[in-house]
Amino acid sequence: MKKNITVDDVKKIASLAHINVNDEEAQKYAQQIAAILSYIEKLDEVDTTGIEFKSQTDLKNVFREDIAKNSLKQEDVLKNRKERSKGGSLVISSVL
Amino acid sequence: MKQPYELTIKEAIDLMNDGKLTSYDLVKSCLDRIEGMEPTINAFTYISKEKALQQASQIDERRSKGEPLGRLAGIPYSLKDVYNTYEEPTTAGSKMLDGYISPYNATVYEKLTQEDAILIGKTNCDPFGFGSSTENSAYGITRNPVNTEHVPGGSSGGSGAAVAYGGGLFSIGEDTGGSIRCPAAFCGIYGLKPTYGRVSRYGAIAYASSYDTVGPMTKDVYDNALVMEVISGIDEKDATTSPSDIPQYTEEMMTTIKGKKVGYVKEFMGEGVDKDVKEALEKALEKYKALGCEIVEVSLPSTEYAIAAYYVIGISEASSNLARMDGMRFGVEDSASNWKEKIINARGKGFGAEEKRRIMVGTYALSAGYADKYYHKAQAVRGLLKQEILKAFEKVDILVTPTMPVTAPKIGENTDDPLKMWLMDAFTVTINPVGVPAMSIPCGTDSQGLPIGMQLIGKHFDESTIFAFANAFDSSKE
Repeated sequence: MKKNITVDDVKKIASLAHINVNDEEAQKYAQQIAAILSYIEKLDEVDTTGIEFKSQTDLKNVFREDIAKNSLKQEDVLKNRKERSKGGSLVISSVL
Repeated sequence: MKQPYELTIKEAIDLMNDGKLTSYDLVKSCLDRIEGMEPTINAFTYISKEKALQQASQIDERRSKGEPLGRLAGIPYSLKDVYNTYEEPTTAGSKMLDGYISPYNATVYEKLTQEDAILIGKTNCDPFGFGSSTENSAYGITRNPVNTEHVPGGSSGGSGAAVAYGGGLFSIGEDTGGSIRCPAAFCGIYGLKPTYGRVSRYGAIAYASSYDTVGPMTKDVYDNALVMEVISGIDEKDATTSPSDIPQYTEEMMTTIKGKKVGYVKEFMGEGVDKDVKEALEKALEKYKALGCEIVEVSLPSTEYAIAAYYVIGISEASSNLARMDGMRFGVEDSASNWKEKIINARGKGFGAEEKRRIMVGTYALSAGYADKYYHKAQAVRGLLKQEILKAFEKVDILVTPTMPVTAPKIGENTDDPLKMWLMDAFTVTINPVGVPAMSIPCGTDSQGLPIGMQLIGKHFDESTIFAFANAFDSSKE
């Protein structure tokens, strides 16, 4: 079945994904995403009654003791935004 | 006589132990080779020249003093540009991470450093692993050194090309749906995607966390087994790593394969497989028969749906993993004062077309109202796929398939049709959702002289059998 994806659909998805997409890009993506989704629809043909996927290998949940130890240094973590770090924190524009 | 850059790891180690080669000369030879080849090939995004030469001199000095050295002492290698190394750039092939300097080391890098291997650079790749040709990289395409009109495969295309031309003796790739095996096949080298959880992924930039694996790309089977002995094992920083013992792969690869059962997957030998590829595979199966193996036909009917299931889950996980690329703490930044605009603009500028496409389809597949139809359905199909493959392994010891249905396409041949490019990965993407190990080894060339790769698929944590089959195949060549 051919899936129909409009430019508005693309813009909505892009906004959910926090990606800026211009009109020209949206046109192109609408066609490509429609083709991809039509291909994926193939999965509907498979009978998966009672089938479940649990994990790749037999590994179960892994736990460790909660012991405090040194992690990355603040200055290392912040060095990609040196100009916006202050007193070991990152300064950003206000969210609220 | 071979130039140092042409040596395998084992040959180089033997020569260094005999005092016939220094690590400095070896590293210098690889760096000179890189300088000569890079204007054409573009396999590297970053070259660590001074540091590598300095480390080589130090190792030579330690060797001359008779100090104990690691198992890969003085061997130059490259990392796919998705592995963090302290104070060095890591781009993941994306503009999003242009200028990013890693604040920590990936475990695989620490393990190799512990054994005195020398990092000479990081290699080009499709952004975040998104691609099978390295044509999507923000840092230019990489060309196949076997024939520069053709792609090297992807996404670890830079690693494949670098190992093939001698830019380092081995490389560490990353495989989410074929990213080690595809370039290994197209460049004529050896690439292993280990069992999920065999090698720590700490410090590897994530694509799809339930598929991602770290593995070696080498010039022969022994080197691959050797590097696997070094990089495997449990890591408290990656909870998915297995506590099971690390086999002595370099010894176990010598095990005889006589009497073993080889499964050939009939669905992977049909329509869409190039004539030359099919013939090379048939010859390989004949060879295994001559080596005393029984050839058994195996059917994996759900593989018809593997690509669809693989992509739905893969891009869903990718859309979630890549949410951290917000331009706030590292990478591309936008100057907007509003926080949300700042993020949206940074991602709009930083991500390329393939990244945007995958993130958007992934977001769609996970969105309210569609998650059952796409994501959960794909997981169920994945369960079916695992059942079929495990059932096949009740009958056979190994599965043998072509790695890719075709040999390396020409540059630009598939770039306008993303779906067509995805379909090329049918035989490799089937493996990652199930977590079993698989290796691509060279098994001939097509009529144009382009390498053909054969995929050896093993049981969970049974890399040893894969190595034994690869070694038996190569040994019978000589």
